Amino acid sequence: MPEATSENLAIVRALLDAAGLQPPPEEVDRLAELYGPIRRQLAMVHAADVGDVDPSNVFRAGEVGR
Amino acid sequence: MSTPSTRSTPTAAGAPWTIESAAAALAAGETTSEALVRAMFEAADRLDDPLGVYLARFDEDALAAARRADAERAAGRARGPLHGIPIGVKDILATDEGPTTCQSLVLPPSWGDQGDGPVLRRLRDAGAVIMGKLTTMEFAVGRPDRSKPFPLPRNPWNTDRWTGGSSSGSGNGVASGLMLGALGTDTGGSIRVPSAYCGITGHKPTHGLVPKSGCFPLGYTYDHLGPMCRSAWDCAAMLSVMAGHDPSDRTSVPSAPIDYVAAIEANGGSLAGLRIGVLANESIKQHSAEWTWQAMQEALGVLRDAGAETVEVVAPLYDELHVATFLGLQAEAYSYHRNWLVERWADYGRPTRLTLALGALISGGDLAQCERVRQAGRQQIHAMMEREQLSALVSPTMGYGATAYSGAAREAISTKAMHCPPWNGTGFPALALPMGFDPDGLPLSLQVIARPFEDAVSLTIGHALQQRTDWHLRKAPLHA
Repeated sequence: MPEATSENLAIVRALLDAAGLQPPPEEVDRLAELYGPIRRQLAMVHAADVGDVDPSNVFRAGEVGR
Repeated sequence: MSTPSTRSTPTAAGAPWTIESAAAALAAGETTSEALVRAMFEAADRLDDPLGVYLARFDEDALAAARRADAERAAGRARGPLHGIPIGVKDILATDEGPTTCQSLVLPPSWGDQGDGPVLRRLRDAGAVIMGKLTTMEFAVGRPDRSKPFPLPRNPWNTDRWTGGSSSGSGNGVASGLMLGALGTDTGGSIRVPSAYCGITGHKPTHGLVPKSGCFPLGYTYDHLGPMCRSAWDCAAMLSVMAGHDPSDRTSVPSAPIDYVAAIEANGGSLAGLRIGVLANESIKQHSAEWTWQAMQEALGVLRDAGAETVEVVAPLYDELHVATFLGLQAEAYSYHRNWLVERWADYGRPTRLTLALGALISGGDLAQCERVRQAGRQQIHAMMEREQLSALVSPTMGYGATAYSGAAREAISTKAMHCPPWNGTGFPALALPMGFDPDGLPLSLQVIARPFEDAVSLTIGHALQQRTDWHLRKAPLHA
């Protein structure tokens, strides 16, 4: 899991670029600061023992409303 | 604890109006809807500037609606407890009267042209008087932002403190007596946080109980519409009208109508036979002040006096649900806003655009895993409630009282001090209600969570507490 700010900065720049977002540099820096905690949170989510459970979003072909 | 109180009459010891007391006074001919609405707008003339409650007032339309309600009542056609009652609307919900801004420069004005959604229509059909549109955080996300041309919502208990968000104007509007009820929305705590900070009662219904159509989406699968009022009785009166399937929202669930007021009054305030789980997860304890925990223990004593049994329990996957809810709603919010972020980055407030852009840093696989945690969490917590024979769970709503606009303690502004998000992830109903004050005189709040579609249980417990305490009737220093 990347922790170093320079690594996070590079990853965040690449992800923002791929998404087509162009924040000013100081806001990219701020997002890079937030990226480490987000990866730690995601590590917790991926480490959870959820067995074979399906995602909570269930697709039903017959539901054609809004 | 405060001394027991019974009915909340505005004349008894200067207690504020509630929907319950106003409905009784209207029915008895002691006041009129027009008088209530006029008095509340006059109070808003004085208090809106320091508090930042309204984005738009509908004075003429509201007074006309109030006069119609009075005329109907005079003709013997009272529609129920909301007949002639002044209600405010968070400005991410479209209304027939006019503008919806989502407190943003980005939203196209045409978005609001759709007018009333099903919940607004139901409230009007029940005789409610719509007073205006209330402050929020931009698109119900981000933080208060002084750089944009919108009012900064302030707490009527201390104007140096935040109201909480994102249903900010709903919270401080009810708490300051500028309306008797308000519509809020809750994606990660946005009904319960301002209810807690402002010292009022707010209910996040079971997901699917109240249709969301006509509400600007934040996190599609986490969003809830709910009532914000002084009391659980008042929330029950609003929820009775708001709940029910509507085909415009495919997540709304067909269900038989429930009279929540009758449900909470059925046992005369007794909680005999109810077993309540007190959430003892370490993260909740770690991120709650000592005085918050103490206030909750005293509230639990009142619930036991009412006949409930309480037992400590640890909710499975609680911490994982907490983070999965935030991550999931960020990803869902980003999906709506991505194209606008590309084109109009600078038009968003800084806190908003940074929060929304976090969704671009979460992968599809990450989001799917958040959804699996969400499913496992609700299964396991429900199974625990079954196993332990629990009708409800309780925790503090927030670990601390309202945070300061500047110089707030780090622990108080941590998202970990929010004990709300897991119940957006699970969709379980959750009621926030006052349970005392912190050493700075700011309200503290109890959260009562029930099993899905057992909203009446949360409301019954809240009503029982409020029949024996008067925290919900305390007036803030800035009050009509």
